[in-house]
Amino acid sequence: MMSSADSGFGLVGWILCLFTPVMLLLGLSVGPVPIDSQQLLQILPFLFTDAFTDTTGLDPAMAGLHTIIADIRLPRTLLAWLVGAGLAISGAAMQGLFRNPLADPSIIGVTSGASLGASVAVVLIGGGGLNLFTDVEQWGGLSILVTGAFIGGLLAALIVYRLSTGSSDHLSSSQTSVATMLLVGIAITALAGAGNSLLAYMTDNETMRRISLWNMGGLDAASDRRVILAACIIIPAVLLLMRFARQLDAMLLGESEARHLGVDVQRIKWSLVVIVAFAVASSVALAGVIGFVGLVVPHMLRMLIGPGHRRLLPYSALAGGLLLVAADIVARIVLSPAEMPVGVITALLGAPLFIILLRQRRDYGMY
Amino acid sequence: MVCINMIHSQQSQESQEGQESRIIFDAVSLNRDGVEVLSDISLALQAGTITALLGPNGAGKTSLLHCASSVMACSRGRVLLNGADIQSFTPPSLAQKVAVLPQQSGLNFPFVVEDVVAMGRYPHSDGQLCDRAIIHNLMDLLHIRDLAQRPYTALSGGEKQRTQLARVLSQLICSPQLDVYDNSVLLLDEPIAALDMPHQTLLMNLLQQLAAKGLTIFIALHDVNLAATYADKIALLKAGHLIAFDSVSEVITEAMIKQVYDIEVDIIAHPKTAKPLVIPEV
Repeated sequence: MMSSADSGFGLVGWILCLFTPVMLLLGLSVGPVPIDSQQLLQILPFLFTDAFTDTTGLDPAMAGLHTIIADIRLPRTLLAWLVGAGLAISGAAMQGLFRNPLADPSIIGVTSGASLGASVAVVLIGGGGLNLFTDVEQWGGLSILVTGAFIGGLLAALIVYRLSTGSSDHLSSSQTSVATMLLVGIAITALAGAGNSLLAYMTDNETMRRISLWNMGGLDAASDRRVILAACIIIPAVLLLMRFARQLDAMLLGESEARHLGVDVQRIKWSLVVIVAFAVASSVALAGVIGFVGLVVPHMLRMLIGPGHRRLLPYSALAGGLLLVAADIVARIVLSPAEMPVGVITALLGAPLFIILLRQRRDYGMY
Repeated sequence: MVCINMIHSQQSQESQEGQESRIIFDAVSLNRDGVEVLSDISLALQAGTITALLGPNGAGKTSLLHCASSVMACSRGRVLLNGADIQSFTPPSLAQKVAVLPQQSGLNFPFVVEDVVAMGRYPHSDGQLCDRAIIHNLMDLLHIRDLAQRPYTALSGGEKQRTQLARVLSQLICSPQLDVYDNSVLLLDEPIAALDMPHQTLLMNLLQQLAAKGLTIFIALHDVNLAATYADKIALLKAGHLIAFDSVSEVITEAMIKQVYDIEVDIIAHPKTAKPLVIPEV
């Protein structure tokens, strides 16, 4: 497109790019054991070597810090960054698809669907000898978790889309009904919550605690494997979603208008729902339920740079990653040395903003 | 295939006389929820003409436009665009030939006016400079240049309508001199409803100018007098049936209006254009 607002990368983009490495380094240095910038600079060159077998240049005290960074903070910070980016760009894409700024994956039930799918998958396979939450760290367990979450999330997304959008042979009703969308989202969230509670009720105390902690969203289980799995799913999803910028802009005009501009609406819908379900499901499976990132980030960016997806999608990914790394830092330090689940932080930030959005609903003229 | 070949040969004969059919409705019927909203409609839109589509509320005007834009598939019959079945076009190839202005638009995101107009250029890639010149020229013509950087959501109804018109027109215009792409078609559903009188006249004059450049225009209207003044031909619909399809003087008669709208009218000649002017009886 050739509009003035769309040429070049823009100031906001450069600021986001600049802050990303700063925030990532902050994520490595902040925590119960503070690591200052000098120590960090000394350790960074040895980050991907094993401190115990190759201690060249590191004294024994530094080796301990190296372990903290390499084994705990690096996977955790990277996982937060990936999950945040995936959730935020998914939110932006869903909002474009539903033509509604409130369509966040956690509000319309995709997140809770994915959460239930993951629990069910683990419990079902658990009958076949896999121990819930202990064998999960193996590759097999992780992929079962992601697959279950994907099926749950995809089903939830399709049900919501189906029920809240008029059938395609009634053009007049092809507009998504927001009230229906939110209500179906509530129903699916409640249903999935009941399913999760039932699973928790049927298992032992330890598993029950793990399930409820999972539903609060937490990055404390981050590991190399989880980061690699998240990267393999979320990075391709982010890159794929960015290719839909122009089509999503056209979709905001309305479904039939987009078709008249040459967009294959049906194909776009399916592609977006499947990619988003993948991104959201993997983040739910690997980092638990983290709400509101997909709602807050695109909304704030829209106020800064307008609704054009050419910028909104990449900026959302950048800002979402930043936000979740920041939220995870906060989660680590407020109750230090204990931790808060990061999902609680994002909900504490996101819920008030959601209420403000609802109060401004007349701006969108669609309720 | 035989039938298509017949139409092809018919077309080539017509084009020799400068009477090429751009869109042909070939015995089109449409069922929606078991109700027949269009029955057995056959008409041909000539290249470079304005055809007005008139009829009471619920007569099937919008449905007929939907068939012409391939949004709906006909239950029976077919629609041909430049001789080929319209259902055989892919969305991108159709968008290069046919632009559509729907009755209402549901854009609720604050794109600025210029960005909305620029979306009309999506199907084409003629280079940014050319695109920008076309967009700016159309915004000047429709008096929305001053609004270029205003958010669409903050506009009045008439301003929104002119923005959408500029977007739809930019899809079919290939130069700042208002040249149109070859063999292209503009479908407008009630484009003047939100416009004030000067802008109604402005739009209809602009459409006449574009038709003279070869654009084929099919426009659903409620204002019979506007249709009589600007259209080359008029199609009259009632309850899904095509009652008449002919030149203005043949269609706009007291008897025909009575038959379709069920009201008594007087028809006088326009003092300047001598076109029929319809006055409802008091």
